[in-house]
Amino acid sequence: MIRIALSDTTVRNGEHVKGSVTWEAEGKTPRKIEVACRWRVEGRGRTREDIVASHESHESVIPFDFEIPKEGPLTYDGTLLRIIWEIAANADLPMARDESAVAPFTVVARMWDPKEWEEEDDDEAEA
Amino acid sequence: MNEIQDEGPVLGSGLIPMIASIVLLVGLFVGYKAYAVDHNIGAAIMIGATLPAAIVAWQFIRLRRALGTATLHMNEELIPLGWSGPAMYVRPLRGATIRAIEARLQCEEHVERGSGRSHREWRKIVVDEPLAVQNAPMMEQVWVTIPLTIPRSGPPTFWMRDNEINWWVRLRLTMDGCPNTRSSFKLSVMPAVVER
Repeated sequence: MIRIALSDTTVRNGEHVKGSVTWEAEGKTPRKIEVACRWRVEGRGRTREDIVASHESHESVIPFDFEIPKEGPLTYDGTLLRIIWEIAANADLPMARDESAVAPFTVVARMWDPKEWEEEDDDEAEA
Repeated sequence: MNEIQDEGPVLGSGLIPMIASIVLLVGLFVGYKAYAVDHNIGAAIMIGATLPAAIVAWQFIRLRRALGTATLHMNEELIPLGWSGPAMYVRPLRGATIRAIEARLQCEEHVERGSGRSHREWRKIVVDEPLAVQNAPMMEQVWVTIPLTIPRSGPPTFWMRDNEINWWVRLRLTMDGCPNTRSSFKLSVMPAVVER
């Protein structure tokens, strides 16, 4: 059995989502466990997904610390579309069906600091 | 920063252009048939049928040239959630007078699915707030001050292929001396919120 524990279920864009993935099973040892931080947009339109970061491990307890991009997107529950953030874990088991788990979390808006965004605007202009 | 989309003059309810188009099509058909019998009558019918459409087209071109393009000026380049400030709407106004201005702040979800014949799209306004405007008409142009407040709880601008969230300032001008006019301006709202 694979379990995801989040240190906080609400984070701001630009901050980190932290936690751990734990593998608990007698006799079964996964070849690897992949942990991913992703968001997806779903609703009436086409579903789209973006994996922000991921890593693999052979340990039974995998701590993770993913940075949520400052550009977002933010979690959103609208009429035609929803934006969902989640941590997904997948255990690759030999000679058995893979096990997976998903833990959703909420990304809310960070506090406004114009300098942060102006610098980025300047960088883009230079590029 | 703000993308300008000026939709330009709106020719009433669209009924007059529709009638003019029908008269044009029917007149050309009847005139063509009559032309074989009597050249003069046929030509007269076709010319007569062309007149209403020509007048509508000429009026549209004249207004488009006269009114020009509207612009929306804002002091800040970047707008976060919870932002408050004025925006200035400027439109050339040659000879026309403004009777009423209706302005609204809207947040619109826009999604698409499929392609080709099975392509479908949906739009939904999820925030729709009337804006109190202050109008300062000049001789040659109109200046409208629009106090804007982006809701703190609203979503920021979002774009992913086939899925969008857009903020708009939309204005509708009821005018004397020319048909009604409307303008739409897309705002880019950042994913950050101002402190209370």
